[in-house]
Amino acid sequence: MGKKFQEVKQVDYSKLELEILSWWQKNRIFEKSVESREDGIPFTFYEGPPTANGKPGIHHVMARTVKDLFCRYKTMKGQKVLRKGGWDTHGLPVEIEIEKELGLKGRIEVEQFGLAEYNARCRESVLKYKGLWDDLTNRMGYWVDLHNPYITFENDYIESVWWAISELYKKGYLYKGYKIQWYSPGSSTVLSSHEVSLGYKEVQDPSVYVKFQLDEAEDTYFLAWTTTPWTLVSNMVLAVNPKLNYQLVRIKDAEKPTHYIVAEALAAAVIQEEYEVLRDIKGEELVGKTYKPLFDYALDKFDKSEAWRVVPADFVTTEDGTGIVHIAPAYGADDYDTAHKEGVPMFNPVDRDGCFISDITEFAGMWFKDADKEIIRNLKDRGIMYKHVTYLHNYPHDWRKGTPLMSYPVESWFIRTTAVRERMVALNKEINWKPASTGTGRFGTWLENNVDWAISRQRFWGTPLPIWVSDTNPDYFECIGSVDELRKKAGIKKNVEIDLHRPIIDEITWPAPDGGTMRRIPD
Amino acid sequence: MPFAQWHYPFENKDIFTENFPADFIAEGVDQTRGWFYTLHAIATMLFDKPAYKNVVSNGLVLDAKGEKMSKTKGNTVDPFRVLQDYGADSTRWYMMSNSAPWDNLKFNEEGLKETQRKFFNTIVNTYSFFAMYANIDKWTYAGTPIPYSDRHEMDRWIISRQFTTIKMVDYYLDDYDVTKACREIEAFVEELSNWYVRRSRRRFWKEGKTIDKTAAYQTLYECLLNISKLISPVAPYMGEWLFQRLCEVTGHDEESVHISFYPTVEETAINKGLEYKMEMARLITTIVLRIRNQANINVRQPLSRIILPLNTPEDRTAIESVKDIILEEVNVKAIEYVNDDSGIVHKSAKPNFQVLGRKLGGLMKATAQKVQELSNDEITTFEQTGSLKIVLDNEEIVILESEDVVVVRHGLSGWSVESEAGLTVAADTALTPELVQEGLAREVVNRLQNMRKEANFDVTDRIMVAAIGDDGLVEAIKASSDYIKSETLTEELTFNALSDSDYTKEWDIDGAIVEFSIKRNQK
Repeated sequence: MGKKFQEVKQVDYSKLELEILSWWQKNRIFEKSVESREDGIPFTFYEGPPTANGKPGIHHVMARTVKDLFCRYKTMKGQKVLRKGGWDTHGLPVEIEIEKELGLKGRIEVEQFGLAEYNARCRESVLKYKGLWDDLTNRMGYWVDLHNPYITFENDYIESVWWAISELYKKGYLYKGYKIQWYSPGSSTVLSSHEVSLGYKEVQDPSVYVKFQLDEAEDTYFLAWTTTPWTLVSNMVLAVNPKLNYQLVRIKDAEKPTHYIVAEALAAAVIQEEYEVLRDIKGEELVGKTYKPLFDYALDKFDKSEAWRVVPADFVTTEDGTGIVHIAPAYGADDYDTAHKEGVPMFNPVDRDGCFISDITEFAGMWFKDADKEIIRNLKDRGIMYKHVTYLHNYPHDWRKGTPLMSYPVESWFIRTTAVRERMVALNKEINWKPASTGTGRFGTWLENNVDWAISRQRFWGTPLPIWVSDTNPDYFECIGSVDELRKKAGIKKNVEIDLHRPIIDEITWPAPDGGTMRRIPD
Repeated sequence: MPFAQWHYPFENKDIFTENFPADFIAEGVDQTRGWFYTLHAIATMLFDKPAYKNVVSNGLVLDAKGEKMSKTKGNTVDPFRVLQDYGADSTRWYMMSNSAPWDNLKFNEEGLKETQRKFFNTIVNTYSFFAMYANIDKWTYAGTPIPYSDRHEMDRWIISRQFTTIKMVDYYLDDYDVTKACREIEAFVEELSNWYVRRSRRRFWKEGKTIDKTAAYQTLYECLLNISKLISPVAPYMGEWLFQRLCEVTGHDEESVHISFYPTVEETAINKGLEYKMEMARLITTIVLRIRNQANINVRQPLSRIILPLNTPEDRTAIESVKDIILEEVNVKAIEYVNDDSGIVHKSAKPNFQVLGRKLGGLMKATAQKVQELSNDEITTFEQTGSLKIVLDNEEIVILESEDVVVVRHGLSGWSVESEAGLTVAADTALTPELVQEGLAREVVNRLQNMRKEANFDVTDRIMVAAIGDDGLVEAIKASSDYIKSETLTEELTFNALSDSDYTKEWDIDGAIVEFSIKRNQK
């Protein structure tokens, strides 16, 4: 009794907040706000874990205010709102940071430095700014359980991820495929996009226009352009844009009747002789037309009907070239995707050292770039080289060795998300998106155009994929779903700690049923 | 991953099952292909369910000019500095109320300052007002609540507004639309401060305890307490502060606002009719104050009358019931009604040359002349129907639409006219000697009240006043002495110098010089 309301004139908001903050902490108000709703209906919130190896910015205050306010609101509505904090500790940003710190450049230097030490450094650094993040969390009044956070590098977390991958495997969603990546045959290594950006050099490359003879008329050719003649051995299809206009032209005063098909917009620039336009053709009319392979090598492996036809592709433009794009699925990401969509196989006759394999008799053992001029000569001799000039452009090179890179198919593991595309689209309709337009637009479109999910990351410091492959039969693999299962497989006793990271995890092997050894994949 | 954060399925099966799917997640829109997709794809494949029911994807935080923030541009904002300078709540409230979180935010510190000034200062000032008078009256909410039906109309109005606000805020937060929720709260805080408190001040000033005064205290206390709860999800500190200041005296409610329950709606206390007529009163007040502003007549100068063109008896009845409030607020003697605005407004029309020129070409000149000749009645009809047929001298017919014509309103002589939200108000701005005299008395009251404040007198102190100076002004003060005395708690008003005044100040009131001395009487 006799109490008075505190009279205030002016308020120092910041000071007032700090007083309340310490009062909350001293009196465990956050904890009590959860405990007092013990019998309430759970309201579940998942914290998307931030990466603590960078400093927080003002945009984090924005995102975290949204998170915090609805959790507080639901608590006040009587619901039990558990809020587990989390830290995302894996991935490229961490590696880049450590490589900068250690002065390491690229995968080879990392391997020379030693993975054990490297990963130990990564582990130390990932929570470098945790103190700063905790300060921000506290100061801005974001209530989330910071005392028992989940950390993605912990064994328990990784084990649950392994469980998920093995469940997906059991359901038939896990498979091995290829992903086209920048690869340095000079040092037999895949390069990160950062490394690729370090090695751009201006070089003279051949620029060739090649004649692909239609099956239906031996005096008629598609003209296609490329600056990498060595990939022509692996040509599988030609791509046109179905919406573009093309023309069938006849060369005037030719020794024998000769017709070319090129994009209308480029005809005048490409064709050197005098010609007349016989017919306008819509790109979509060209789709499905078949042509003669430039080389026979791929025919040893595949039937003619499996490839060597015209396919549609939206990325084809009339900016340069002929409007008809030569597709070698093994040597370009767009090429690979286009072929994959059409069910066309890839043909990769270049080994990991960048040389043509012995099956390719004319160019056997030849360094891929050296093969360019041999291939040009070969095509000229056979009269199917329409035009050959040189071309000055920027091309990525191995920044250490100076040798050219190649877009190359690298073994990769995928989750067949396309198998559930329709289901994902349907389930998305049950989600209340704010704004709704992101759900139907950005996210909805992304689902509708879903491609299989590449889970290989080629990281040193990451969640290791729980896949072991027989070293005598690359098609035999086992997917491990728990630490216990791994122990049983490899005969590791309960009392031996296993760190589920490289290099320890890579040292665990067991006999394969075919007599070889099961070794973990390189992610 | 939600399952991995609980080490599911190796541990915590119950917790995971109870907390899947999430009710709510929120991240930046850049997570569409990251966190949002990962959760959705895995949940679809493993559980055949969406991983979350509601998702907010927030936009970018840009700099004040709308440019992306980046270290290289040097336009990043340090979150710790912002939190220190403005407090977390101003930052959070600004970010949530300025624009929908999913739109990009142009982060502008001016906006933060405005949030602090307009919103939080208003809350603090309203609380301060309450605290000061409650302490004077030793009011601590000791009794039981007075039934709403027994409270003053002003109380019933703000209580109705309070429950309408709670209802809307609850609706919007339930739909994850925090911006609209914030705007509702902002409007309510403004109404409470600038209308309820301002209109009810005299009830708090009155001496002694009456039921009406208790009802006013209860009403203001309840509104403030509900504001503390309504704001606390977004402004957790200020919500807590206000809640503690109120409850530490009354002992009502929980230990913390964040353990308390969100306010619930009492439907029976919502009175839409009352809200409507008060809204009309506020609208008319706003318009009249604007007219005064334009005519350069301050609100202390009474005006004789305003005219409202209102066609429906319902609107007239509504306004009649809040007539006294309007008259007092705008300091006007009378309200008169007319059926439409044709009698008080002179309208003229001129062609919208930009639009019409394109439409009519050669007929433009002839049409313009006809438009300018339109009578008041013709213009009124045109405004109502939105189209007008004009017969030109050469007998050609032109049909005009709303956008083709600009209507200009002029007040009749001695009248000023303004419109807003479909309502027109005309004010008689002619001043009689009596009105001028009354205006002067109010000016005097205003100066004396300022002096009481400057001299740090208590609001309840009785005083003695001496006025010496301009003869005309002194005569005016004598003529209105009863009014001046009661308004300023003056027990004695003299026109001779005071021997021992507490405070003396010279004023210039509309060119007349006068010196006031005030002295505090013994209690």
